[in-house]
Amino acid sequence: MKTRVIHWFKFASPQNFYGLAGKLWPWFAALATVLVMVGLWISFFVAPVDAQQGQGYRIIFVHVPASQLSMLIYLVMAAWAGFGLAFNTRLSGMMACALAPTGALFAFLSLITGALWGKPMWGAWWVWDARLTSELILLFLYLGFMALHASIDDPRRADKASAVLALVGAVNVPIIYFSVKWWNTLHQGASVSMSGSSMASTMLTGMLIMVLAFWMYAIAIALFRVRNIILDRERHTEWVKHAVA
Amino acid sequence: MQWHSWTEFWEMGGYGLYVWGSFGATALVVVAEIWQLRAQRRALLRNLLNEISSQDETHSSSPS
Repeated sequence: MKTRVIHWFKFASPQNFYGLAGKLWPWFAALATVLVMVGLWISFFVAPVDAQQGQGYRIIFVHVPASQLSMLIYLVMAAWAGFGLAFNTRLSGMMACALAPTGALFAFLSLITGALWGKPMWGAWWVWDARLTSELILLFLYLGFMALHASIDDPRRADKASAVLALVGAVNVPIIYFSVKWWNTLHQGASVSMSGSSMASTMLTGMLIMVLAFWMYAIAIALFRVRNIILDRERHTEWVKHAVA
Repeated sequence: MQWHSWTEFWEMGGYGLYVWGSFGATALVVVAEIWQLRAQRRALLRNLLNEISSQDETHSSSPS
């Protein structure tokens, strides 16, 4: 029997990962484009009007994906950061930095779309509710991560310091997720759970497709951004000179 | 089909501002992020090429 050994650590070197990311991101971008088009079609033309919230509920198709990704990206970022601390690999810090801005943007979108949803349904753009407040803290954690990283000149030291911040901040993610259960909040509980869904099936399909589309977008954009970061940090190496010349 | 006319579609049952505001903000952020990253990549490549060509010049002009 022939066994093929894949040398995963080969891609831990920024030089190899630069090439791999360059090959991969267009595929994820293409998937994201297709999924967004299907998702938008379902969001506006297939999913029926909601019995309680009328057409206003359609905000769910961007609000849920943005919120979910803002939490998920944070966990992936913290995992890369922790990996970097444990194994001292250069790529880990670069990946964490590549994810932070996109995570911050999704946290921002989660709050903006949430405000636009809260105003007509609750009568307020903002309330100091557990879900909203912990999501705002998530945005500040992202901004803190980026600010701390930018404030330290040596990128390797910046990786280490900001990795500690990312790991400590990770405790906020389960707080956001469970906030609607732990506290009596204005924010509605989860519409989808292990035991089933309280939504019409086309609404659910549309939402899941939009979530998947946002995933693909986040992967594509992180791969693209990490290439920029690699080029910048490795600009004095021979391989970069050969790669761009 | 959910809609009988384009006006009805844009009005979103009275929630037009909120629904289109949400989708618009998302679209704006996505477009801005992509644009920023492409501009950043172009600038990085430009600087790298300048650096390489200026190094080549100093090498060739230096007396051997």
